[in-house]
Amino acid sequence: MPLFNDLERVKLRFIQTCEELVAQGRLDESEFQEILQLLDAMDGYDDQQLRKELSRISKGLSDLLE
Amino acid sequence: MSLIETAPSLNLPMDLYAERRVLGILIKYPDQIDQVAGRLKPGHFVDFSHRRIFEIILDIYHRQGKISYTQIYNRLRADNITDDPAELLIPLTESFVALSELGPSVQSLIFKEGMRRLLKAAEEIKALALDEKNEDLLQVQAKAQELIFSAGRANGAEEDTKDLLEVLNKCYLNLLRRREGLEDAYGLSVRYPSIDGMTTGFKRGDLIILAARPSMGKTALALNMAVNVAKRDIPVLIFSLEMDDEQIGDRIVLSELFGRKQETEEAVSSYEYQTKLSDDQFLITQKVFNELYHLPVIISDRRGLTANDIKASARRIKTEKPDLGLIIIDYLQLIKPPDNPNRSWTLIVGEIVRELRDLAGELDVPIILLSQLNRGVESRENKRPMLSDLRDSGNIEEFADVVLFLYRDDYYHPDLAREQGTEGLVELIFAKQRKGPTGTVQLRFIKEYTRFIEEYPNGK
Repeated sequence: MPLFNDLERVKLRFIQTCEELVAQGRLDESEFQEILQLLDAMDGYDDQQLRKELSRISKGLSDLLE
Repeated sequence: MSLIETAPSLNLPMDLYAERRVLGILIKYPDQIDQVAGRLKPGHFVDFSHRRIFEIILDIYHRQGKISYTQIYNRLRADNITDDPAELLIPLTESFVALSELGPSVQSLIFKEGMRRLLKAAEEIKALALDEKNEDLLQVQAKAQELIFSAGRANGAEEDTKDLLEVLNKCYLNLLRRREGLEDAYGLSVRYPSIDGMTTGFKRGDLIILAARPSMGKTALALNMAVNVAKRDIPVLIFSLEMDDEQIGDRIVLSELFGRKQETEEAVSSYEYQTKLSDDQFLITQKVFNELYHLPVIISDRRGLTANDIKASARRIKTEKPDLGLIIIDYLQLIKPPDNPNRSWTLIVGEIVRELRDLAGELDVPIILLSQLNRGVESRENKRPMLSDLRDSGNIEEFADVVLFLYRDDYYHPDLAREQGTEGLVELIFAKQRKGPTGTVQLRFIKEYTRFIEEYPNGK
């Protein structure tokens, strides 16, 4: 259970960061929604696929992955 | 964000930590939602954002069957409740250690919500008591009782509206119980197969009007049904505005003596019961008394009760005996109307009946309200009562769930009845049933013993 909660906290912090990027104009709303959907379905992706998808949605915005 | 910052008022009983624990656990273990949804409503959460998160959890779960923080985040964002949904949600992930914390946390929320309702009722009662416009003490007492009673009902705060899903769940459970032949899946049986067959039992919250011209046996039938119900340990409350407690007691004993008459040689007649009994007859009667002593029948024989008095008294009894199963009021025309000379009798009666129907719903108990029919019936050739006979006395039939008329042909044609052997035959005319068929069934009335018995085709 701690793992589940840790992961959920990380996801929420990540979404928080993405929302800041939306506020800065570096991500648009549809991209933000795509990221949310991706996170919701992330159990179905391995690490490589997830990075690839995130990179595609954010058009290579490397900040998202760091 | 600290708990104190999000609390709407520190003067209310609340457990914000339990609110967080429940939400955190439900998101992690959505399979617990069905179990919790029947016990908790959004009103159990004091913190506004917690309440909204609970609503969102229920909504997402019912739509998709699964929940995620991501989806809740998105919904909170769309609601514009907060600038930073993550700051609301992250504490939920840290709010609990194990699933076993769910039960005690739910209990805590139910307890605190009950306390808040009591506190609210107390504040309203205080305002009532301080209101100098009040002049009628009884009315204020009745209102205060109503407030306390409503506050004491479990989970009552948010249940005025229900989703179709919730309603259908209840219907489906009842369907299964009926299929399994469980008795409580039906309404309240009065142990007259012909009546129970028509009604499938009187339903909780229903108002049943039992109407007839005088001397048809309304009170006798109502008392017979009351005893039949009480014999199954189901409490019955009787408001007798006409007869006093001893008259009712004697009628109940007499009616039971009829049963003994069929079982033993030594019959006790009504006349003997009211004059002098032989030793054997005394023993038989004593046995009947002993059998009746323990029956849970509560009798109020105060005259001149208003509808408010009846409501207050019924609420008190229901609080003392939560399993109260039936209320009988004998009879409508003797309920004292409120003092208002400018209102018509029709309107007043309509209002009393409506209030009693609301009481049946509030207490979740069937109420049998006896009513006299006026002389209009006598002027017709066919004297069987009809729904229109009630219309002259207010909109009784509109508010009633069941309208049951009693009609005895031998009352009008005694000689013919003697010739045809139909003496004592009573027609029970179901003129209206919201949840069942209309039609007529027959019982036999043994007038001497004020006892109704089933009338079988073979004459037994």
